[in-house]
Amino acid sequence: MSETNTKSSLVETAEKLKSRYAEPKAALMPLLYEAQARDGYLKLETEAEIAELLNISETEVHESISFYPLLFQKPVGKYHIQFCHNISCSLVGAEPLIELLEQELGVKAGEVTEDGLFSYQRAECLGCCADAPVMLVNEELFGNLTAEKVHDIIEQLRAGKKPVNDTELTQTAECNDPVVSGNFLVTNASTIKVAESHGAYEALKKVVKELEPAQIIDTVKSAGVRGMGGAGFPAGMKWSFVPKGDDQKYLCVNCDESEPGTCKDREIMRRDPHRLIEGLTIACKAFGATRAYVYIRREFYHEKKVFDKAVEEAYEAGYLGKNILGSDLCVDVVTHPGAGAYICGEETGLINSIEGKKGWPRIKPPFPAVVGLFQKPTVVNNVETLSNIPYIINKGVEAYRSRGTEKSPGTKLFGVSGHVVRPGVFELPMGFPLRELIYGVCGGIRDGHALKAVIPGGSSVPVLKAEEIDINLDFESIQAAGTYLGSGAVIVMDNTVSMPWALEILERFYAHESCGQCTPCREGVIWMYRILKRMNAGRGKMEDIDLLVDLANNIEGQTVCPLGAAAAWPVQAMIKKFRHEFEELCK
Amino acid sequence: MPKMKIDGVEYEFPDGINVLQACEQVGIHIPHFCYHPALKVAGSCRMCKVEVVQGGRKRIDISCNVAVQDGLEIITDSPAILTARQMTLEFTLSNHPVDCPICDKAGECDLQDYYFEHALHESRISEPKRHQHKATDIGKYIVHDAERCVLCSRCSRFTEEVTKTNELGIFGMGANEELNVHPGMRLDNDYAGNVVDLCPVGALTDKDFRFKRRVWYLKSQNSICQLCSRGCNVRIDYDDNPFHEQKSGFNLNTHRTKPTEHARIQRIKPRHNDSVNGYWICDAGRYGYRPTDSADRLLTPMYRKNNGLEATDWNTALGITAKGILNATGKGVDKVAVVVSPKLTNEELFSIHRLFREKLELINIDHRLPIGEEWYGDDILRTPDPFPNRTGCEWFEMTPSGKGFGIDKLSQAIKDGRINTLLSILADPRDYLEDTAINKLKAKYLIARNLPDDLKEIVDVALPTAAWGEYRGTFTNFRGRIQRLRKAFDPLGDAKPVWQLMVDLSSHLKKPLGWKDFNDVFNAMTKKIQFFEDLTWNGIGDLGVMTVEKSVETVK
Ligand SMILES: Cc1cc2nc3c(=O)[nH]c(=O)nc-3n(C[C@H](O)[C@H](O)[C@H](O)COP(=O)(O)O)c2cc1C
Ligand code: SF4
Ligand code: SF4
Ligand code: SF4
Ligand code: FES
Repeated sequence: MSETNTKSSLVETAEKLKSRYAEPKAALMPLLYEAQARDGYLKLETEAEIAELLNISETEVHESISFYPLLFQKPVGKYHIQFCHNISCSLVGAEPLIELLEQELGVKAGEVTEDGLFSYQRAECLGCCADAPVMLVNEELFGNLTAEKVHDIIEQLRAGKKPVNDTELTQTAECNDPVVSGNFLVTNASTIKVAESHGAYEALKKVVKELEPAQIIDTVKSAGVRGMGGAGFPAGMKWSFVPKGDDQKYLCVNCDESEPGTCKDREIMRRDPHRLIEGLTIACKAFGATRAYVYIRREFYHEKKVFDKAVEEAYEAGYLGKNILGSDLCVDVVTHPGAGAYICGEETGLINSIEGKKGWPRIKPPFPAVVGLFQKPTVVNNVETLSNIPYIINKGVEAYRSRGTEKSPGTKLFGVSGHVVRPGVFELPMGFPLRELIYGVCGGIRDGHALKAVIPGGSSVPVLKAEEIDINLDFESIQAAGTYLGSGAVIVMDNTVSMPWALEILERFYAHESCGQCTPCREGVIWMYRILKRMNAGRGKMEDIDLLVDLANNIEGQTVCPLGAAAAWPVQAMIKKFRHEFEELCK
Repeated sequence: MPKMKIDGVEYEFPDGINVLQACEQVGIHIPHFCYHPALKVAGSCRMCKVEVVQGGRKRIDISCNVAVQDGLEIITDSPAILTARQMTLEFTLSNHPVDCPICDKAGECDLQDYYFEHALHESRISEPKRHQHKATDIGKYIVHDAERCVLCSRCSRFTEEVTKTNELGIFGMGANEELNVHPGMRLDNDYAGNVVDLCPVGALTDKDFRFKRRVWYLKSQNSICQLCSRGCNVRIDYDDNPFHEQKSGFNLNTHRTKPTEHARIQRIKPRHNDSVNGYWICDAGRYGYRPTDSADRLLTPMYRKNNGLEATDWNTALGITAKGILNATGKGVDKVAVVVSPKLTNEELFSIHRLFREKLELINIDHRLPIGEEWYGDDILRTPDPFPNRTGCEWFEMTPSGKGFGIDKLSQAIKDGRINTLLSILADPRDYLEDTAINKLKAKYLIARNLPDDLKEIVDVALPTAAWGEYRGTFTNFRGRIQRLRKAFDPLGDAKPVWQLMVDLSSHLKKPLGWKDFNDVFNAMTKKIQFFEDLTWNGIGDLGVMTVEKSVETVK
C-alpha cells in the first residue's frame, strides 16, 4: 500500500469510529490500534496525524501511548508473546517457563529477536488464572503450559506453522438451577440460535412488554443483587441513584477483569455472551440509558471477537438498536478495547479510558451516577452482575433469593486458581463453605501437599491461614473473618509457598499498575515492592518488616482510588499472619 | 453563606469555595502542592487532608475537593492529620534528590518549608532513588529537573487550561512517570514563565534567574507592568547590594551610580489581582525589565558641543532647552512639538499638561505613537496596545488642540517649516518622524531613560529620567483602573522622574509649577480630574481602583 493509501485508511476509520462516541476523542484507543496494526508500533508522526484527526493535542495522544502497556512505542516481533508472571501463574511454575522462553528466544523481556520473529513481555494477570500458566502469542491464548509445550509452540512458530493449541476448556460445574452459568456447557451457546433455544431474551421480551423502569429497579432491588466486580454494591440501588429525566445516560459494562485470580467474566463473554447482552439491555431500560459501552480488556482478544459477533446477531434479531422488539426502547452497544492497564477496571479510570484519556481514576465527588462518561450520568456494572438480571426477571425474586443469605442472595461465580487439583470457574450459592469449595468442588490440594493459605477474593484481599478456612463465601461472613469476598477469585497456596515470595509478586503487580496519579500510591507501593525484593534477595533488615506495615497503613485510605488500599491489605495481612517467615528472611 | 466550624471555631463563608480556601481565609494554612485556585482541582498530591465531620461521621478527606457546607466541622490539626501530612511528605521525598543547596527554589520551596514544619524525619528509605533527567533545557526560558518534580500537574494543567498550548504532559505510568514537554515540542508559549511560579518545588526553574541570587537576598516592591495597557500587577524582586553579586571581581568601592556594575532587578513576579491579571503575567512583561539596569542608561544631562554630545549639569541642559522652547513660541507663533509616550505615569502626564498646555498654551502635543508590528494582543492577558497609560494620555489631553499638528502630520509640518523644535519624552523620534524631517529640525530635545549610541547623533539635549522601578506614580489601564507603581530603589546617576523635570524646567521657563514633592503633584492632579476627587495614594492600594468603566471594545 502506498503512503497516501494508508493515510486515508486511517482517515476513514477515524470517521467510522468517531460516530460511535459522543465525543470524537473517545475514538483514540481503537484508532491507535488501527495505526499500530498498520505500522507495527506507534510512530511520533502518527501521533500528530491522529491528534489532528480527533482534534486533540499531540500531548494527550502521547500521554496515552506512554501510559498503556499495550501501545507500543517501538517495534515488536512478528510474534509478540505476553507471558503472565502474576500470582496464579507463578504458583504453578511461570518463572521457570519464562526462563526457558528467554533461552529459546535468546532475548530478554522487552527485546526483539534478531530475525524480528519474536518479542516478549512479562504480563500481569491475563485473566485466565484457572488455566495457569498462560501466555498470549499475539491474539491467541495458550494455557496449562509446560516446558514441552512452550518449546513446541516456539518451534512450530519458527517453522512457520500454526502451533497446536491444546488448552483445555476451563473447568466449570453447574449448580442446580444456575443463574449465570446455565449455558456454559452448551455447545455454541454464543450463537444466537442456540442461546435462544436455551431461553435467551425471554426476560427482555417480558421487560419490554410488561415492566416499567421503576418496576425493574424495584425487582432488582428486592432481589438484592450485589455488585460482582469487587465492591459488592447493590445493583438496584446503584441504578436508582441516577437522576431521572431526559438527559443522556450511559451504562458502562466492566469487562476489564484484571484483579489477579479473577477469571469469571471471561467465561460469560466467551461461552454465553447473549446473557450479558440481555442483562445490559434490561439495565439500560431500568435507568434510562440508551447506550452501553462494554470495556473489554485487550488481552481478551478471543472473548471480544465472540462478544462482538453476538452483538451483531442481537442487532439483527432486534434485541439491540432502535425500537427493540417493536417497543420504544432503544439501546446501542459499543465495545471498547482496553490496553493492558489494571487501573482501567476502577470505574472512573474506565470512564476516562473510554473517553480517550489515560486511565487515571477521578476524584469524587462528583460521582459517576451524576457526572460520568462524557459528563453524563453513568452506571458502571460488572459483567457478572448484569448477567444475573435475566434470571431474576424470568424466575422472580423469590427463586433468586432461595439461595444465599439475606444480604448476599443468589449465587456467585468463583474462580479458583493455584494449588488445587481442579482449578476452574464454578457457580455456587452465596454462602458456600470455603472448605467445601477447596476440598470438594476443586478436589483438594495437589498431591503430596497441604494447604497453607487462601486469598479468598482476588489478590488484594487479606489472606486467610489454612486454619481459618471454615467460613462461608458470602459478603458478610467473609467480612466477619477480616477479609473480603471481592471478585470471588480464590487463590489457593500450599505449604511450598513462601509468603514473602508471594507478597513480592503481589506488590510487584500493584507497583506496576499504580496509575501514578496520587503520591502515597505512586511512591509508597513501589517502595514496599523494593523492600520485599531486597528481603527476598537476602538483604532484608528486621526493621523493614515494621516499615512495610507502617507504609501500608499510611497508603490505605489516603489515595484517590482504592488501588492504594488494595496494595496495602496484602502487606498488612501477610505480615500479621506469617510474620515469622519475614523475620526468618531478615535474620 | 454556609456556617461551619474549623478547629472548634464557627465561621461563615461565602458559597462556592472549598475547605482549603476557607481555612486560608481564617488564617489556617493547609499544606498543599497540586491545588491552585486558578486551575481545575486535581486532588492528587494528597497533602491537603483534613478531618471532615459530616452527619455525625468523621472521615479524612482532601480539603481542596470538599465544598464549604452548612454544618460541616473541619479539624486541621488532629494527630491523624499530622501523621497523614508527615507520611505524604515522606512519600513525596522518597525519590526526591534533596539537592536544595544547588536549587534555585531553596528558600521559597513548598516542599522544603513543609518538611521543616511537618516532617523532619530521619530518612527511612534504603532503596536507591530513582534517577531521571536533570537540568534539561525545555524552552527559551525554562529548565526542567525531573527528579525534583512532585508530579502535582499544576504546570501541565496550566498549558492545558490557560494557554491551551499543551506542551506539557505527564508521560508514562506509575512510578516511572515523568512530567515533560511532548518529545516534539518546546515550552515556548507567551506565558511559559508562569510555570516556574506554579511549580511548588524547583523542578521548573527560570533560566533568566538560575543561579543569579539566593532568594533570601532579594527585596521586593510592588509595581505595575509597563509593557501593555492591561497593567498586570507585578512584584519587582531586586537586590541593590553589590556584595551579593556572584560574579567574581566586583569592585568593593562601587557606589550605586553606574548601571553596569550589577543589575538591581533580579526578576519579575506576578501579583495576584483578579480584576486585572489573575495569577499570571506574560513573558514580555516578565522578562522586559532589562532597560532599567542596561548599559545604555542615560546618567547625566548631555548637550551638543563640537559635533558630539557632552555631559553637563542640569542647569546648563535645562537652560538650553528652555531657551529653545521660548525661541520657538510666543506672539502667536508655536513651532514647538511635544511628543509624549503613553508610558508616562498620570502624575508625569499631569505635570506636562500643566506646564505646556495650561501655562505655555502649546498646541502641538500628541501621544499617539505608532505601534510596532512586533506587538500583538491575545485573549489571555496581552492587549493590542503596548502602552500602559493611554487612558491617562486621554485624560490629560495629550492630543493637539486647535490647529495643532498630531504625530501623523508632524513630518510634513516640519518639512513645511511650521515646526522647528521638538521635545520628545520617552519616545525615539525615529519611530515617528521621517529622516528628512529629523534633519530639518532646528532643535531636538529628548527626555530619556536609555540613550543608545545611534540616538546620540541626532539629539541636541538629552535629559535623563528615572526608569521603571526608580520612581512612583500611577497608570490607568485600558479598562480605567488606576494602579500604583511604587519605588523600589533610587534613580541611577542624575536621573529624575519626569514630573520633577517639569518642575525644574518650569523655573527656567519662568512659569514655576511650584510643587516640592510627589505628594504636591498627586494632590494637584486629584483636583484636576473629576473622578480623582476623593482619591488618595493609600486609597488606591496595592490592587488599584476603578475610575470610570471604559468600554473594553474601544480598546481592542
Ligand atoms: C483498582 C481496581 C480495579 C478494579 N477492577 C475491576 C475489574 O476488572 N472488573 C470489575 O468489574 N470491577 C473492577 N473494579 C471495581 C469497579 O470499580 C466497580 O466497582 C465495579 O465495576 C462496579 O460494578 P458492580 O457494582 O457491578 O460490581 C476495580 C476496582 C478497583 C479499585
Ligand atoms: S491510588 Fe494509585 S491507582 Fe489509584 S489514583 Fe492513586 S496512584 Fe492511581
Ligand atoms: S514540574 Fe513542578 S509544577 Fe510541574 S508537575 Fe512537577 S512539581 Fe508540579
Ligand atoms: S500582559 Fe501586558 S501588562 Fe501583563 S505582563 Fe504582559 S505586557 Fe505586561
Ligand atoms: S491540594 Fe488537595 S490533593 Fe493536592
